[in-house]
Amino acid sequence: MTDMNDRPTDLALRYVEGELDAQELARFEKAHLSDPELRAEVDAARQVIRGLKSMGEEDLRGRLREADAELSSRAKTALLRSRNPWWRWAAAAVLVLGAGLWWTQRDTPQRLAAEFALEERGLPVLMGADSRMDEIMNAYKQGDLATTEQLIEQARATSPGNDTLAYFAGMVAMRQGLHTLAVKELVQVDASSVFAERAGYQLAIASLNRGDVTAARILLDALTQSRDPQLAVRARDLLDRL
Amino acid sequence: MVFSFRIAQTADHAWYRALYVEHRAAFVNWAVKHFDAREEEARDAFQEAVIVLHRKVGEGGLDDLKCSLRTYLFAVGRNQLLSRMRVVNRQVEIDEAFHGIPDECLVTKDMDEQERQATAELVRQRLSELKPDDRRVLELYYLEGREMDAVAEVMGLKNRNVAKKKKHFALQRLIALVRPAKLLKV
Repeated sequence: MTDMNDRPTDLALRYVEGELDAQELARFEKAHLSDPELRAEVDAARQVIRGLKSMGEEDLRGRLREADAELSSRAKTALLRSRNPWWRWAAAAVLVLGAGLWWTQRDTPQRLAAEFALEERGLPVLMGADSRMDEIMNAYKQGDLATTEQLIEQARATSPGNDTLAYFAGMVAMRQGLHTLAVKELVQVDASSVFAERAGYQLAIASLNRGDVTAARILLDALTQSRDPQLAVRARDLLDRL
Repeated sequence: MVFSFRIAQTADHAWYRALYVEHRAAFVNWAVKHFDAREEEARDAFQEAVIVLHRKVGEGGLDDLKCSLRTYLFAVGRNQLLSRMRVVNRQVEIDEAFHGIPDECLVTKDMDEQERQATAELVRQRLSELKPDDRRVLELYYLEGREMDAVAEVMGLKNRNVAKKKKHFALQRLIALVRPAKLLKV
């Protein structure tokens, strides 16, 4: 096993990953010129990282090929269906029946909000430096909303602009069915926050519960570009139903 | 579309897959119409364009991208397609000139590519010898392309700095395992 005080390896890695500060970099580059051991360490680090990145590219290539196979299979199924006349009549019959059924059981904003609700399970309890947040998460996970609310209020007295607290205050309000309050809390989550996209989605759900379909559409439309593919797909599916 | 590019810097492989699915059909239609390419060739070229984007973003080489991601992907895809078509045409000429000589005598793989594959294979073998936690942190970051924040969340670590340290130590251990194989120029 490697000794973690292995300085040349440590330095070489930090150099290759671009993590040295200006002073360290200048010292390192000077030493690098005259120290063959250090040069070998840099080569080793570069090769291993290159190897890992190649594996990453192979993984991505595999996913793109899978996507290709999926799309081709869908296209073939669609083609077969389009060539089958009885299927068209059956589809027409289903459409007529479906239209009747839709009229009686059509999607209302509230029904869609319930169907597309995204459960927020809470953050991992780390038993670490932030015991205040651990307490909040414990209460939240146990469904003790009154205590969660109280603890969040106490925490906010010392950290008024905290995004995590605003997000979970919004989630507590959502769970209590207080959708207007949820909107007020969730809009406080800053766009740069790690919770920004999830808060955006929850805002859309809260807006639907309030019957504000326009606001929900705008929020969901932005989320279709989310870096979280599951959230993007969910937003797109919900938009399709609106 | 600076917004799109900002997403790409923090994207994982699922995001690149979604990007590929979104633009693939348009690229294939365009390539078939304008370059008389076969659909299969166009798809391969577009896959490679997405891989190139992934690589460039990882290297931080697209910081001054002045066009949309779609325009970038179409430009890279077109270059990939044209160079592949040139290689095929050249291969036809070679085949005609060296008729009867087995392919393996005529076509040699690029040495860099061979070396890259050999290193990747060695790293793959040694990676499986690491402790599960070490292996996971490297897989999440390098193979799945996750951000440090996401790595920390998936592994239940306190924050990105803890995840970064864990990745650093795991890399040191991996280098120590790879080094004795003498593939490295040590």
